[in-house]
Amino acid sequence: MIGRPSCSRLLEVVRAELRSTVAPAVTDPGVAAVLGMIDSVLQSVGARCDHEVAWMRDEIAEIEDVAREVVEAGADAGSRVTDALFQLRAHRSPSDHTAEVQAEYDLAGEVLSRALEATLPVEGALRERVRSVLEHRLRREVEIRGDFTLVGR
Amino acid sequence: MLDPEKMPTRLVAFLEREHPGATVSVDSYEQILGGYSRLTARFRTEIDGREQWMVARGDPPPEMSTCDTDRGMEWLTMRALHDAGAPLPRPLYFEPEGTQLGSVAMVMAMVEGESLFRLAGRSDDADLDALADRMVDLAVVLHGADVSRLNHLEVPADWGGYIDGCIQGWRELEGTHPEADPFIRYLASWLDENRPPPAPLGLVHGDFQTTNVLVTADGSLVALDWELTHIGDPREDLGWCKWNAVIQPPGLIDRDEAGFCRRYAELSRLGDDVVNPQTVAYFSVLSAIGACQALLPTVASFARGINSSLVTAYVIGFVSTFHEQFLEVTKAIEAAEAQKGVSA
Repeated sequence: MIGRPSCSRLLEVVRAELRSTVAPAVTDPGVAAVLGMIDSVLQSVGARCDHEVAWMRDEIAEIEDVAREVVEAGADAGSRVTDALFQLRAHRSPSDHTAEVQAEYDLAGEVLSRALEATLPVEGALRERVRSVLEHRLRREVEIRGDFTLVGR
Repeated sequence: MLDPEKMPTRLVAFLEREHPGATVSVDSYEQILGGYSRLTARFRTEIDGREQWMVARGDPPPEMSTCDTDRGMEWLTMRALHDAGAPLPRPLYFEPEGTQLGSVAMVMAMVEGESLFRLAGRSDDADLDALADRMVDLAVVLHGADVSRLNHLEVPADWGGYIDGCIQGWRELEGTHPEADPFIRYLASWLDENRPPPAPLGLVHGDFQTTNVLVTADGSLVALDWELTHIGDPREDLGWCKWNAVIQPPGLIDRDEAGFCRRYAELSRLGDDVVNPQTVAYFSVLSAIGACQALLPTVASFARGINSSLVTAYVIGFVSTFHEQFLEVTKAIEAAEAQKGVSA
């Protein structure tokens, strides 16, 4: 396969062409709004495509670490975090194909959800530590989304 | 409604069935941009020589849907509230089968006016303050509507049970989404742990924001888009108004949030322990349930390849904005509570 230029570079050029050549020729406000949506979607795809699997793997590891801290601190009432961790470890992605890593990432998401639920009622460092993982996830989401204001209004 | 060329002919046939024996013509059919959820168009009609401008509002086909709501419920809501004197366009006809107009649709009288969102965008500070007051006044009027006419809407038994239902709604929404969403799970638990003082339940517009308000030539405000209307906590509308200012500046509530809340608290007689910036902030995230319940199933359909709407692909960015708000708002309320504790 041809690996260079990267996918994000190709999308960057497509977006630039849409902005410089197509957009000025569009006079219909409805079509202009569609073009704005297309640009926004391409921007998000461009931000994801070169890093998606690595980002998911990084976050899975981060979630496992914090979940282990929750369990070791005795904050896992009902063993809900432990159970979700077991499921995660029992269903590792067998490859780097996106869909399989996404399935593992989904299980890690459940672990994080349960860790948040377990620690939310308890004020203190552990709660903030778990929430910091959620904040990290958010920073990635915002990076992928980019600036976002509704087009066509 | 996806085929504007055919719509005048379809509308003539539809209106002739509504007005047997009348002479009907339709022209100047034009789609209205700005709304993401429904297909909307204006047109001119003459029925036995009487000219009237109307608006058709219909469902897109399932594969193009971005928002899963019930047009029949919206029709009943608009009918009942219009009869009760609420400021909204006069609902005229309903097409429940979708066979005559090409989609399930309603037709209403067109209201001449400018979107409050656009008016706010070209207003100076003094005018924006006045518009914020008008927005409060509109909210008070809508929330004071007689809900006994709205028999088709579910009436919660009490405030606590209603909030329980909203929080459970968040959990169920996450449970049916095709991937785990820790932000929603966090939010549901947080909302449960941090309940504000209760308020009397009443009419909630459900999508109360400046893009859904028209300002007429005489300065009256008219509320549009009643697809998310329900019986609930009126602070949901104030919270949703605040939330929307984040993605569609300029906002009206965030200019002087304390003043906005104070005016509402006085006019509604709910008091400032019930309506204040912190309780409104709580409802800014709780009230997002309506939009998320409408939006996330279409995102799920998109992921499965059933829905192919560009708008759905585009508004996925919206989901991250929800997540952003969930964290920002909950942390801000916690900080304000901590500050109150220090002051005390």
